Amino acid sequence: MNLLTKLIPLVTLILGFSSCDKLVEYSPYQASVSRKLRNTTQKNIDLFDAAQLHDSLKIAAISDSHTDYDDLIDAINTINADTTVDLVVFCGDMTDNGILREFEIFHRYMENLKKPYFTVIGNHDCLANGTHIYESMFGEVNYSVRKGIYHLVFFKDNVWEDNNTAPDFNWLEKEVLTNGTKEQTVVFAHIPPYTDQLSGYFEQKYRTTMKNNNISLTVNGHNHDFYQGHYYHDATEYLVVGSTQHRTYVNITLGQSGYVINRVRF
Amino acid sequence: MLLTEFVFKMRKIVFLIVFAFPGILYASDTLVKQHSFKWYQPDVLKIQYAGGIGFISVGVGKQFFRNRVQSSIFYGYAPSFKSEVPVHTLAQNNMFLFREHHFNKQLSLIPFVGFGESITVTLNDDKTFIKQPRQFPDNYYPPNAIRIGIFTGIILKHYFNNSSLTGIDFTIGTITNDLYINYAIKNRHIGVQNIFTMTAGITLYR
Repeated sequence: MNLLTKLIPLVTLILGFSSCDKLVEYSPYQASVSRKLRNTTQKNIDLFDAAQLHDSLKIAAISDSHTDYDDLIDAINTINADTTVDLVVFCGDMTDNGILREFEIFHRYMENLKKPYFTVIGNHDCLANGTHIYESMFGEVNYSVRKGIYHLVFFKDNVWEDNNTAPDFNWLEKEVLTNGTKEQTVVFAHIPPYTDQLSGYFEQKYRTTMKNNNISLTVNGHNHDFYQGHYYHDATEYLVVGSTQHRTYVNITLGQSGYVINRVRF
Repeated sequence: MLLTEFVFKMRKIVFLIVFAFPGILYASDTLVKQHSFKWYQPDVLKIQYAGGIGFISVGVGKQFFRNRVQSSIFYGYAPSFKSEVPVHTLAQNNMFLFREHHFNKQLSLIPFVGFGESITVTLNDDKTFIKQPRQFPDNYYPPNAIRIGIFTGIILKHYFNNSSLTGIDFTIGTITNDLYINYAIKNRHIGVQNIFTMTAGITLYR
């Protein structure tokens, strides 16, 4: 028996059976999320509900890791080292191609966070069967979480990947309607309203929904570079947290009546 | 430059070479021998389990260069009970067989390496595509329905006497694709052991 006849079966068996992720794969585009990875948002809501908050809520907001997992891991390690963080929010684009393997790897690393985390879906996450996978793995694409006076709204706002279908602004308007309560509402969505996909009618809709409901802070990803400012010169501040690929994230500390933003480089 | 970026930038040349490969094989092999079957008559019939192109896939192919190269086309299907969303895949692969080790006159072991490409249809509007849909600006996304795979494995082949079939084999292999290779190249936390999966199949030989 020649060397290749011995070597190739050995390599085949070692590579195939040593696979840490899965032994067989029917298609990179398959959408079958394993049971233990499902309902991640609800699991984290349960964790967040059980957590004790003091006078403030400190959120570490990260975004746009795509498939640069080394950077994501470094961000997670940096956040874990900060014991004052209460919650982590990922602002979209956890994948490049919306395929199951990318969601699974992201999920595996995010499980290392010591604090609960929530996500918004990004435009890349909607490619292929990504939306279906996201809904199985995490839950609804539009949802909100309340704890004390804090009201966190997570909104899917991409347009092109849904064949130019409008984001569900009706849901958003109902969700941010304060009805005179003293809640501190923060809206997290992947795409800033003033960029590519939303420009025009959807941009105005996003902007007026924030303005008319006195939303003081909306947090986005997508652009990869950090931005903080009153883009429309109104009461709403727009924050783009920057990509972990750029070795940056943002700490948002919500107090009783305001917030403080600190950029972190790692 | 990362592999996927390279493939994206060179995609027309890469796809031309890859898709033209079976034709090149046939043309060059025809120069040295007369084929026993017409060009459209397959030499092999294949049934494959997993391997990134479906839960089950069926294919036909031809053998070239004294049966040292097999080039096949497949249709693969991952049904909703395995994938949640049905996935249809057309694939073409090329296997390069090394020297055959005969246990006896009827049974032999053949190691192989190979590469192939697949086009996937996920039936989800414009979300899996070869040509970017019109709503996106130029080059916003690379084509995401085409994957290039590489694989290696071993064939256990049984030869028949006095049969219309000349043989049957059982193939076991391990496979990865361009995306997963890219993850491993750019992330130190993802190793070769994370990117390969197993596949198995049966081939009938005319």
